[in-house]
Amino acid sequence: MTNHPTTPGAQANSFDAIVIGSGISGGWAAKELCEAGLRTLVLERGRPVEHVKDYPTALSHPWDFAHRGRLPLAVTRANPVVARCGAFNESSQHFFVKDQDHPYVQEKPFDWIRGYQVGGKSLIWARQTQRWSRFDFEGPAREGYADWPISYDDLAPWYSHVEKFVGISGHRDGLETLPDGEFLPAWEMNAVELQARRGIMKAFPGRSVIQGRCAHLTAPQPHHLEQGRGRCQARNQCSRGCPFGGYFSSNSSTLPWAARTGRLTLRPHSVVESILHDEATGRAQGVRVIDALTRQTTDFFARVVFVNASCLNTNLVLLNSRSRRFPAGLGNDHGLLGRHVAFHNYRGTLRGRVEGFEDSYYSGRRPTQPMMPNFRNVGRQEMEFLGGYMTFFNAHRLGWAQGNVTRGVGAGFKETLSRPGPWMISMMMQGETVPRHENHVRLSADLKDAWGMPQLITAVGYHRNDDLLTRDFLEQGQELLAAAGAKDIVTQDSGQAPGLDIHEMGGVRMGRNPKQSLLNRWNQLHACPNVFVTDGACMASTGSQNPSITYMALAARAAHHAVEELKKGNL
Amino acid sequence: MGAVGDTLLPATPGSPGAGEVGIGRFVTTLLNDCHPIEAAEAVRAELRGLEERVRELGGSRFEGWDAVHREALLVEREAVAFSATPGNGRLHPYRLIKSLVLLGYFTSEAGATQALRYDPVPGAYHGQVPLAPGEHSWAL
Repeated sequence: MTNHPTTPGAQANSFDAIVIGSGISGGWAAKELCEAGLRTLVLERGRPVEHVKDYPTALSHPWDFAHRGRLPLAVTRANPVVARCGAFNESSQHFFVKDQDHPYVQEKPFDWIRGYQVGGKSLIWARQTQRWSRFDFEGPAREGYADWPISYDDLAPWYSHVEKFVGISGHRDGLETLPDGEFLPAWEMNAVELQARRGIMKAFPGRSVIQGRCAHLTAPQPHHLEQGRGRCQARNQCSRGCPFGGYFSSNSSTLPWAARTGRLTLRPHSVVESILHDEATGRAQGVRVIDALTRQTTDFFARVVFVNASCLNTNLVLLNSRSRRFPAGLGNDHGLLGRHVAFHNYRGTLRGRVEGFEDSYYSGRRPTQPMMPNFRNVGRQEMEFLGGYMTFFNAHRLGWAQGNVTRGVGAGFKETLSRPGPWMISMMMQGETVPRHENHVRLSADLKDAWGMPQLITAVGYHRNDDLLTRDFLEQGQELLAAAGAKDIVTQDSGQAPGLDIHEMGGVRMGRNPKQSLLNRWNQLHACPNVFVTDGACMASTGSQNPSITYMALAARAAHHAVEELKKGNL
Repeated sequence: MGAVGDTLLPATPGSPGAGEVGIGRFVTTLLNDCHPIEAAEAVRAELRGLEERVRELGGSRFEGWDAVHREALLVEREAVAFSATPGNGRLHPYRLIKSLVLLGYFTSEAGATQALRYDPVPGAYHGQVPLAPGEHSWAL
């Protein structure tokens, strides 16, 4: 049943703006829109999670957990996809979607990791944040696999805007490949990492080892304290939710801030079925919601709609928004909706041991690690593969778990295990993948979920380019670790399915040409300008950076544009 | 099982043995909940094998045997377990027992706070802290 905006009773369901999704980008859209004076409805399909109050395990000790952090076979067997996610464990499982509750179809293997609750994956994200550089926008255009309608210069002021509010720790390194941001003090490196850095930068002039940049309050500023957040306590138990507000999440930051304006309405348990399109005006008029608990359908109306349901769900909602004008999904005049989905390549890892430094240790648990910005194909095509990769590494001393692979019994053995063991370095990659037409998601014609929504089919896989890039990372990684002073270096290509990166992007890509893209330079659907997409779905290429800070900047920028357009009467 | 755990990680000055932190109960829980049935069966067979060996060597039961003998028996067992390469790709059941004992002990309250240093809210990260001789690892 359609509730037309003029139907009696619909007033209560009318807002200035609707935001679909309360995660890391939806929270930002809500904050900006509310601050600008718009009465904003945020629709979240999952349950409420109130900052601090709803973090049941935040201060738990290891012995408080029946399995000391491990998960029962009953859980892992019933949920093989999410069980592969490293952050999914006994202390955090309540913030992850269980496979069995939200089935989807893997036409090719794809591990779709989701967090359906207020705050979404902003509760469980890795909090690593790096700005895109101009090379990341220009490279894909030069090589012809993306047509970004914006440049780094367009986004730079918005990076600054979001970084200040979020609170980003980092060091001003002066690198064009990874621009500096608005930084709070950086985290320290340990002695072995410092040696690694010296060795690598001496052996490879032009490559940089820098400290990781992350969304943690190392020195909260007045506006952070005003948010009710405090200094990061170096616990590194973030995926439980942080009672100190030390890292950025919608729950600790943007949503309460939006609520303070008095203009936020947050509606959990709201599954968005579709965006309602009015053929007469050519605009979206609102959103149809299925109540997750009662299955009742309600229509909500607004002048602008922000779609921040997280990449694949945003694709799903748009594909499911069919009308006479858009039989293939909202804005989809050319069949590109759901196409050019890409992700980050996490296949390669290395480790090695470092001798010495027996008298050096560390204290506290650092929530970031040293990294190297991409050094491949920067500014020109040099390699056999397209794109580049970021490298992360950390050095640590083995703990009692070395006993699992060591012979020993009794008091002496226990004493040895109780002391810090030898130093190890672990290294991982974050590889760009090239968006391809054949990598796509689409709706199942017959399978439905518990709310009657069509299930999503994921048809996203690797390409030879990914194999070549992985191989280069592993070759380079060996040289880097050797220069770092590591011995007995071991490489691994896990061959894992895409998805565990949890950086899936695309499907509703930005572009200059409406015939080859879905969104314009302001993240508006070319074909329906009062609908904005500012989550991962909007990305025309993946870069090698952790993407969330870019989503936040795009969301803030697009929200401001939406407000300007509303004031001018264009929307 | 508790006795095996306590032999592996006995009481030392400053911290109790695994037997004092309910290690038997913990290992049983983990085996039952987190491992396939075959693993629990293999562990039970391993423990039965241990008891047989105790009797072969002139003792009556593993639990209650003196520490020197218990330790020697586990050392003997480790020589086998650490060189075994089972066809099914699984670890020798003794090694599974050992890994669960280590997990159960070092994440127990006594183990984490007395055998190790437990700092739930460090407040800050310091990258270069001198390690004094004999100083213990952080529990987390």
